[in-house]
Amino acid sequence: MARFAHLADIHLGAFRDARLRELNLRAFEAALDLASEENVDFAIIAGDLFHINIPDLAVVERAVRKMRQFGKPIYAVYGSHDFSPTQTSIIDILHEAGVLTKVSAGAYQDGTLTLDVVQDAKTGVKITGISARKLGLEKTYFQDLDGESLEKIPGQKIFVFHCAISEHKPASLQRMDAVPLSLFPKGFDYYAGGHVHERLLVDFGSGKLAYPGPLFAADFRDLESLSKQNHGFYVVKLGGPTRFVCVDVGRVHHETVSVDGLTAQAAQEKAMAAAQKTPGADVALFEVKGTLSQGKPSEIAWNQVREALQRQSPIAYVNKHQLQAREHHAVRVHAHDPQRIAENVFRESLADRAVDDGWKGESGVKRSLQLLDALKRENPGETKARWEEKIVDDAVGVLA
Amino acid sequence: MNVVAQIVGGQHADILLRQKSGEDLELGELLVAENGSAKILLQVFDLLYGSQIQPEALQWASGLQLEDVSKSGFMEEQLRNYVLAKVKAVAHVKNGVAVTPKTLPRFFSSLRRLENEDLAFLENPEKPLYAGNVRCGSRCLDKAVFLDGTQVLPTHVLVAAGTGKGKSNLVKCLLYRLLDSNYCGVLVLDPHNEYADALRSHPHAGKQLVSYSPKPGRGGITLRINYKSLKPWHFSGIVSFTEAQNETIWTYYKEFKNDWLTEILAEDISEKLQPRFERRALKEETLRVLQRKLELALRNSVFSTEGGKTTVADIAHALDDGKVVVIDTSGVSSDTELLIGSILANDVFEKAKQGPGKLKSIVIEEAPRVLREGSSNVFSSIAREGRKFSVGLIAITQLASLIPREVLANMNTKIILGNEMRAEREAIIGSAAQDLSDDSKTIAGLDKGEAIISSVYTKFALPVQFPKFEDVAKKAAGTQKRFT
Repeated sequence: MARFAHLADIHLGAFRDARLRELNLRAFEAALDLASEENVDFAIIAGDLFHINIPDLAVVERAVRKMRQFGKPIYAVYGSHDFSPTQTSIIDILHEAGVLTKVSAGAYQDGTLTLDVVQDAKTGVKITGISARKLGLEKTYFQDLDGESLEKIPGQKIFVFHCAISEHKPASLQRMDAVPLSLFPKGFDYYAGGHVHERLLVDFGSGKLAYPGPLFAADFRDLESLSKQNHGFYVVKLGGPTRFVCVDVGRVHHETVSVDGLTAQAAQEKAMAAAQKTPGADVALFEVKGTLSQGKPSEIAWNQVREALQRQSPIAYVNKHQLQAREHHAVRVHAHDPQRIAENVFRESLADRAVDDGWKGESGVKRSLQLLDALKRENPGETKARWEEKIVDDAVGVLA
Repeated sequence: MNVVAQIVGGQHADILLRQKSGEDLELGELLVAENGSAKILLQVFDLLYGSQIQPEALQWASGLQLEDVSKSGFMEEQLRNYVLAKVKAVAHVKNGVAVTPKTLPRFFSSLRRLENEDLAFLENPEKPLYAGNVRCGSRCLDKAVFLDGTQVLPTHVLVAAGTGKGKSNLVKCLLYRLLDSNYCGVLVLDPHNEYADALRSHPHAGKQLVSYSPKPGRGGITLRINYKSLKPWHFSGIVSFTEAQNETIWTYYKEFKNDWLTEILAEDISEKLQPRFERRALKEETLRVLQRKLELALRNSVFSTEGGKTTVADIAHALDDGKVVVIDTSGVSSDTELLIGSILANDVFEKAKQGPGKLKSIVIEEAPRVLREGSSNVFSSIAREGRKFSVGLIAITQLASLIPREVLANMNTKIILGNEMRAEREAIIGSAAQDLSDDSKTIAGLDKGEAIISSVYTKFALPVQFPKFEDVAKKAAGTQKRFT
């Protein structure tokens, strides 16, 4: 009976802080070690192995070394972060190098998408899937998918995907684009999901559908989640039980201190007292919030608070996004990753401006994100003139 | 000019015409009297015979024919026997502007049938609501009627019809054309599961249509609402509770907020509330009855403790984006359907109250279930106050007479299809934006798809024909795609 590891949302290379990047890499290495100990036949990575499509080569080198050492087949799809519309994602390079196998291949014929199926040599399990694209555009692939031919494939089958599901979105991800279950091909034994950073395991048809959640963390929201519960991956026995395996590479402590109604000086005293009492952890997330009755947040000696935290936890972050002075009325957007921040900024800005119908509401937010995406796309190695032409074409395409 | 009749007498709202022989005027037909550069539009509301021959002579002649005594007819029969039509002036059109007529057309004016060009005054609003094609009797003109959706939709629309007169077809056509644009978010509570599949053929359906169903077809989303989304007021007017039961509900809600329902339905009484039960401030027997009532209302796959956490919010966002959201409630009981409607409508209405947003409209079938005398629920609140917050109803019913007069009067646009029941016709006529007191027979005689639109936003009660939905629906053209 086939046995495999289902990982997703590893986000190698995330975080500017090298210490957090290191913890992320260690989580990946530990996960493959644990998968080996579990004696799996292969591993599935349901998207976002890397945080960007062309990550730092030192990170890639460590990851490749570990995957080669793992010695079992690894099947993967692009995630929304490591997706590349120009086919030069690191996932493609690793696929070409034989480090992993990309299982989301197929072709359009007469408006219908037919997926190729990869068969695992040892177990005979058939694997196929749909990669993510930016802004949830993979929904089109699901809409056009020839599900019937996939349903007819005999034997044990796994479907890999990287998108949210309308029926199973967590409450915190209301605005996230999602694909309804009715568009998923039926008859698979296991649906290996990625993208949603919350764990889920449910029945779907005669099979199981699962999101393991992030392996470690891609942002501070994930770190906060890690302070409440373990992150990890699933070990799946097809036709048998599915078990969650925790990956522990460090303890995260999260604490919120309300200084609402206090003066800046009193707020500092309260924050310091709380910081000194935090329990020891590898990472401390310290959130100070509220509206000061007098003074400004900048009057608080944050370095002292941070130093107090660092005495207990080597990696300490103070979050003061929700702390403001009484007279401060600036509009803020709260989000934990750049994509969400951009989305929220556009949403707020468009709401306050007289814009054409096509730029109003959510369609305006989507188009703005598409434009931003088109303008910031990295050069995959083309000539400058050609690349500029491409960027202009893409941008004009969005504006048209 | 192709003359079909001539004015021979009458008064302003009751003008008498003589029909030209060989022509067949119809009830509801629109005729045109030209008066220099102006035109007066007249509408037929009654037809009768006229004759220059004494009734006794007519009866004698009939006897001769029936008894085979003689087959001979009348001399110059088309001059002596004819049809008279009663018409009323409905619009005075001058310089491309239509106003309510205050003068009579010239005596003995010749009249012709209405043509497309006569309707140039009909506006093409920026945000249109399709309302069928202009109908002249049973003749359908190639002239679509578009009302200003931003005026009509927030001030409620009533679709009233007898059985088999084309309500579903009308709503399908209306929704299909609303998918052309996104100026209004439309929530459709669909108890017969007849809209989602039909609308899916629209070229913008992929972006503009969202459908939920307990058993969704391809592309549809499973209708599941998490217990945490349910609030005590969602049950208002849907499930009746005693005072003691209400008190228990609110105590649980205050204590547990979003988990109030899970806690009420739990077998064991929560420790937090145990002291109140002990001192009999809350009673266990009340709780048990309440549990049974709530379980009965929630006994289906739609309400769940797992999944569906974002359903209500997702629907709200889709409506904010101006999409059409169809909720298939065909597989659930009537109470459950109303509860689902109440949850969603409450959410829409409460959000609209918080500040200006996109125009919203809620389509409810068999409207008197929620818009009846003495009913106190979110739908009746929207009927009364929705206009202030840009939330309107499209209420569909066979039994308009069951809707309170005040609510009917608040529905500024009425799409009136055929109806054989006099009481229903009278209820609609009595609350119409125009005087339709002479149109009862016309309404009774409307065939499937034929309608009269009476609205404060139209110059007169417009006779229209809704085409077959199949003729309206178009297939989307395929586009070349690439898989990456």
